[in-house]
Amino acid sequence: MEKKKICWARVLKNISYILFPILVVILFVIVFSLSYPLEKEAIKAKKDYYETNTFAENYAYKIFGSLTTVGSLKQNEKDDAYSYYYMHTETIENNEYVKSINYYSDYIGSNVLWLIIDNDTKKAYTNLDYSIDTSTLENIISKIMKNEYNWKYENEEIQTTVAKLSNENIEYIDSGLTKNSLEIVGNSPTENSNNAQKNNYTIYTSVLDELEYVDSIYKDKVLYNTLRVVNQNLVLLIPVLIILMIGLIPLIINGIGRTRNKDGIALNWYDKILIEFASIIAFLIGLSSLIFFIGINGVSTITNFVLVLSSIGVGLLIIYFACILFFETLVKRLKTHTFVKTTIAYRLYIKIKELMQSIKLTKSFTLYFLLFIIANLICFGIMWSDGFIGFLLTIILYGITFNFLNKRLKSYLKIKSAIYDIYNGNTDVKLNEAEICKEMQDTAKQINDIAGGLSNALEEKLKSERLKTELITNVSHDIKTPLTSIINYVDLLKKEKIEGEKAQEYLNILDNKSQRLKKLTEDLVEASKASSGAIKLNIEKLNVNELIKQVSGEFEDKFKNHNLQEIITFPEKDVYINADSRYMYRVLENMYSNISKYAMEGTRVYTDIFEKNGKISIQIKNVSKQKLNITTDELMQRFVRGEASRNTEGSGLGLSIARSLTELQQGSFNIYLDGDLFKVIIEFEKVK
Amino acid sequence: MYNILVCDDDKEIVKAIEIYLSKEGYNILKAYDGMEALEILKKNDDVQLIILDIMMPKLDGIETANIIRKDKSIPIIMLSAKSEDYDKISGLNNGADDYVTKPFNPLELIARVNSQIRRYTSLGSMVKKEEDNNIYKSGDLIINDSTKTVEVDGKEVKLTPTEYNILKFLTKNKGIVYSIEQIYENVWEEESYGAENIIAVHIRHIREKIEINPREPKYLKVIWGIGYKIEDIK
Repeated sequence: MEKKKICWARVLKNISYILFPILVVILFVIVFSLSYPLEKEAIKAKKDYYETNTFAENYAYKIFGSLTTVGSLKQNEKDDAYSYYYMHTETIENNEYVKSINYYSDYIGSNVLWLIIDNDTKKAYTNLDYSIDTSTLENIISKIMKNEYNWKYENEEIQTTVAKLSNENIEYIDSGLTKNSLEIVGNSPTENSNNAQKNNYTIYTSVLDELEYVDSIYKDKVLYNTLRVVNQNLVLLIPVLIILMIGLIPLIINGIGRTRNKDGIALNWYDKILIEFASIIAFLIGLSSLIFFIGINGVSTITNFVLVLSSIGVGLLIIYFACILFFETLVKRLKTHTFVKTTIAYRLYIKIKELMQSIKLTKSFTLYFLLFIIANLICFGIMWSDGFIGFLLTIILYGITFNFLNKRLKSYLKIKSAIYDIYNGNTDVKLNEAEICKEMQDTAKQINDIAGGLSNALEEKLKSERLKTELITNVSHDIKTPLTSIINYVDLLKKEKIEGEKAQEYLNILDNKSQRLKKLTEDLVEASKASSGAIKLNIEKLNVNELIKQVSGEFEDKFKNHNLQEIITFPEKDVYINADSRYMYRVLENMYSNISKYAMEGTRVYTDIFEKNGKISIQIKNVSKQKLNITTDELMQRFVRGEASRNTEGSGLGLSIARSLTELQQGSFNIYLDGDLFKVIIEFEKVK
Repeated sequence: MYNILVCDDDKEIVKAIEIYLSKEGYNILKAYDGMEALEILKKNDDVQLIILDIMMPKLDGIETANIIRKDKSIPIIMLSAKSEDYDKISGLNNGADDYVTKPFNPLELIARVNSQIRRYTSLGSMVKKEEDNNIYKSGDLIINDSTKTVEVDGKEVKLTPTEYNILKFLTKNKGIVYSIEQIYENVWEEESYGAENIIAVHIRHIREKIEINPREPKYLKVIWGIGYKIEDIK
């Protein structure tokens, strides 16, 4: 659908391009014709060309011209001078001469044929081509007189088919041809007598039926006929043409730049160059058409009307092409909004703007540097004339310059350290803008804003974590109340001493599960608090050896029950860490209780405390009862336990809580699995 | 026959407590919100202990305890699902003598009730013995070095000689934290060579004997990573 539309737009555009000049030419012709001052009345009267004065006058002028020609020929004969004209002379019957003058009257030829017989000298003159049989006068006369419009003068009488050149009307023709002139033209007064001898001519003339483009008779006929047609029929066309032309413009504009292959406007190299260059190129193309017009001028006498016309046509076409080229690129540029951007003025504006901006950035420094150089030169100048003062001034200048540079360097360092802080996660950074030099104040402000934004985001995150913890805490309260009744009544039921093994078994299951549920709710709250950091820490200096001894003592009985032997390696001296006493116990308690639950019975449990790279490391290793087909990452996730079943006690939150609590106290907590070997490494910074 | 007022908006819990405490020979008065509890106290002067839930309609446990404390010194045990430190502290500061979290262990509750009743009813006579040089005490933990006996809340506790010596040393120096090493050196009166968790094991055993809930000791406190102490209770 879209493609079809584009196709149509292009076709319409091209048609319009063809139609437009045609319309222009027609319009031009019409307007020209209307204003052309020729035979207005005749046109109005719808007369034939051959009835007009113009024709009569042209004809009369030609007749007059033939008389002049014959006159000069006769003079030449008399003077026996060299004849410029080519003459064809033949002796015909009755010893009469006929002199044929080929294409005399008009070098290009003539639409008027004529034969003049001098009855005194018995010589005949004609402009008929010698190719015509001119052996007898009758032949010539019949050849002439067979044309429709002819004119004959014999015995002082005119016989003619042209009304305006008849006996009665001939005097009014404004061409020099009068009855009188017929008798005297061509006769120069002789030296002997003042009165010239009158001609005694018999004249045959006619206008060719088929006119040729050789003289004004033809030209005027074309002109007159055109004018007649235009005047009578085409006046009404003017508004129609104008409307059509205006109508074509949008079609052209719409079609410009459309391509079948692409959406939007297609630009070629010509549309991308500067508009000024584009206009120069278009202008030069238009200018090249001059060759054709100059050609016309040079061959203005060429008889070939078609050649002249085609020359003008080609010239105009070139101009038209140049116009289209420029118009198209204009429209494309406007369509793609690149018109302004491709002007030299705009490019200059952008360059200047860029230049100004770059100057603005480094302006102050450039300015100060220039000032420094000037001041320095002045100081040197002074040193030339007065060494001490010059030296003093130089020192002062250097001092000021150092202070200037130092201030800026300090500002830069402040900003740098602020960025470093933010990079390291400290979002409490606040640069004091007053302490920053003017050039960097914007940057300082932006850094403050970034830090503020980051710390807000962090706060939001903490807030949402706290809300989550609160929610979990509240839910756990609501679970605990019914759980109290369950636990108590299960306990009471057990004391009722119900008969039957099965009843006892069921009661035990109820007891276990309700106890687990209790543990689970407690751990859930703790895990959520630990991971959201909603715990108040009471950090003190703890003795790791003491701690491990205490915890180990706490679990001694449980280990014994599971036939586990604990082997502790202490460092030679007591080592200390900074941590919260209570939560540190929670971490280790979780580890030890895990061991008592999951370690293989009859194995040893190793606890190593050692110092490494300024850190105190607590390593607890044991062999797992169950096969550990699980990754460490999975093991650290909440609710995941080493074994697939969930029948044993424990919530699966132990490791997660331990890790969260350790990390809250700025320690690290890692688990390593190697086959059935389960290893936990807890590390803290060493404290002296 | 001592009268105990149990007040909780959950009737089943009140009933369960009644069953447990009746077996121990106590007479139970029941209330289901703070207002009811206050009314019962108004009518009945002969109440030796109150077990009070915190989250109750009409009048909550904290406010009820406050009102009771204005003119009565009856011991109050708070019973609540709120288990945060903040909640316990707020309960104890508002007139409660003890704080038990739900879900509670019935045996622990009974032990705590017995302890409070003993304290409230019979401890007055003990005060006289205070002058004896061979008696060390903290709160209701009393060590009589003449008879080598230990009493907690008026009830005698059997200890091994080592346990007794450790407890005596700590009670003598109540309020002061001692590390394992220090305890060893002071009790055995010889140099410690470290690497021993025997003291920690003894201390756990003592705790299991003298404390109602060894995980939340009242007298023998563990300061993890530092040492042990006997809390100085007036």
